Amino acid sequence: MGTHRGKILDVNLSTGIVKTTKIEEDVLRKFIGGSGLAAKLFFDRVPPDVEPLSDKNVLFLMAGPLSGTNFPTSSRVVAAFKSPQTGIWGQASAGGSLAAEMKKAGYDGIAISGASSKPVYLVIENDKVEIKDAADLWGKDCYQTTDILTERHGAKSDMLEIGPAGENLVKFACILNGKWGSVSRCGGGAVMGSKKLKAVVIRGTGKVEPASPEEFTKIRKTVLKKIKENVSAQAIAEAGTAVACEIYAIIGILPVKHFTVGDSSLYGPKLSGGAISAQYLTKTHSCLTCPIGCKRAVKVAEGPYAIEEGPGPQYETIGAFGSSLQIDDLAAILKMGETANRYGVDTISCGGTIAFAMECFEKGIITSKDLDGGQLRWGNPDDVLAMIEKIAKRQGFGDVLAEGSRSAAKQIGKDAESCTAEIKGLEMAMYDPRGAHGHGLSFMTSNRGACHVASTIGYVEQNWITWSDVGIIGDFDAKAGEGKGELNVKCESLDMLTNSATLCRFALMSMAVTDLAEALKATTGFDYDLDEIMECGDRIWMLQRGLNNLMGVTAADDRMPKRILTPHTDGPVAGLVPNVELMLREYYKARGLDANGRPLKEKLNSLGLSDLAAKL
Amino acid sequence: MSVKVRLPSLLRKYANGQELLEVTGYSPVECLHNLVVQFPDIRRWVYDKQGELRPQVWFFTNGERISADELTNRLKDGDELFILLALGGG
Repeated sequence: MGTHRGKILDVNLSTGIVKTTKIEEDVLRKFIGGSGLAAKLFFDRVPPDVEPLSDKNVLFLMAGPLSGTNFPTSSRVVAAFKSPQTGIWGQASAGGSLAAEMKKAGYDGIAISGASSKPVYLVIENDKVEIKDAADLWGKDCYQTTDILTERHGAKSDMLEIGPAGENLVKFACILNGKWGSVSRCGGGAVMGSKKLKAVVIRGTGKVEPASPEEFTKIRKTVLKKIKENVSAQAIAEAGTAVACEIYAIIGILPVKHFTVGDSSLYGPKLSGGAISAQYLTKTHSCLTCPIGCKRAVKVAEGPYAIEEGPGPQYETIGAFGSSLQIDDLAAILKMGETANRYGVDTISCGGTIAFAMECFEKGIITSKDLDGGQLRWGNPDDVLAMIEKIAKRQGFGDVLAEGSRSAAKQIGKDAESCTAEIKGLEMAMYDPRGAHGHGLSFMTSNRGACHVASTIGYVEQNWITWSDVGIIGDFDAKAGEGKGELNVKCESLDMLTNSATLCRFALMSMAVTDLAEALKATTGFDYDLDEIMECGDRIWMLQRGLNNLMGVTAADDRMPKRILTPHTDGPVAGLVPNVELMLREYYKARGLDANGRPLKEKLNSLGLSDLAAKL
Repeated sequence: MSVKVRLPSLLRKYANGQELLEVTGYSPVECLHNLVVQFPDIRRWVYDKQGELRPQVWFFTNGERISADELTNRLKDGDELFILLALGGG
């Protein structure tokens, strides 16, 4: 099995029982690892009607077959769970060294069930697993927790931890991976909080050897060379993911004022990676095995938003706390990012929920009375910083917003729902679909909600990247819907593969898919070819979709927020809206979904998912 | 023929920090060629190893994006050319 360990570590926090479960080779071959294997384990073990914050929910922390090797960007850990924010499939991932430590410790994944009656943290060192008292950590922010646990357990271990937001069951609380990674979306932090699990510390000392070392070395060298020659990867290395701000503002996909304003010209240069580099960058930082190094360390030396040197924001945070809130003060945005990280909240959902509340305030749906005499004004960083803290601590109106914008809108009533921009309960990522119609489709069809990393179509339809070996090539119009349905099916499979392998998508955009098949073959020893791994991608998406159907998702949930169907009156994409009916019709046909949004039984059977077919 | 060329923030450090500079050239591709002669460190961002223009390089003349078959069209004195690297982020 090569790099597969063939086992999952099971930890029950209610009983304290720790054991391992064997994973059959056949399952590993079909579901690969990471997100795919998590979906299979969830399907086999967890009832779909489980309450997300109950002790019956299971938190899966997963590595993939590339983890623990020195394959470029094989650094990602995946968390999967039933989401307390959306009530459906939840998953998120982060780059760091945790997945490598997990593999070196001897596990393909960890399944955490039950709930402790008091705060605890897990320490896993190879086959030694301890559930330790976390009373002294509870209440500490994520950075403080990382510092304490690093001192206690050594710098060679890696960790996942939650902050006060997770402890307070904020529905979009994230799980931080030390200080540099964030398992951000869907509320995994609240799942940990509901289990009174403050942190997971892992250290492994075993060797992780590819099944075919020579073939592995060969493909590794090939991919490394391709990454170094890829201009997109090199631009991200040079200026971080915020390098995209400038171009996105020009092509009309950088959201402004919660997707309600079309002219983004003010924000592109001001919030770009170049602007960060010129004013606040101190150094760059890489995930384990990554030759790109997209992460930025920043420092704001003085002023009201001064912060010590530490991890800086990526593009999504800059959009969510910047242009979407009409804030162009970069120092303030860096402060917001740091604040969100310390408290442990998903910056996209936090920014999106605050934007929702700003709209409500502007329209008089909520008033200063609701905000305990405070305000939520567009373009006001101090209002935002105050609200991030209130959300994390569930204080005052923060307690309402801590439920996420969809639930908050229901609670507020009146016309609050018109102020939301979410799909399946997940606030939209920072891409305005009016300038990227296919990307908008992928928001609607993503299994975790409005997710920007569930499909590579955003890159493809702008004609930036092609994958000719799987037929992803053409001269696309990003502002048209024709052909995007079938394209999205293929592009989604690619991100299923990166999340299962586990691999950073910035590597994939430099590679051929055939290279990934070669890498998986060399690491696992399974004689994968291109067709088989694409089928794996299809299977994994279908299983996650089927789980969602069992959790209540229907075709009605594959929808676009109303505001996106209203054209901007100015800006680069004035007058345009995506043709969602056309795209969804094409997509359903290409994907094999019926009119209710459920996979066709024959399609499931062809993918070896007859057990799912029987339940649907 | 003197044209103003505006650079994206990513490329400014390779042009002594300049955002807007005067470049001679009759067409967008010629302006780019002359820009790279003047600032050779820009080369790898805009041309591939075979010397071909990268598909990620977009040109805007006076604010309007121009298509691939317009790249040899004649510019006018005083035109502003914006050379953008169209790249995905995260």
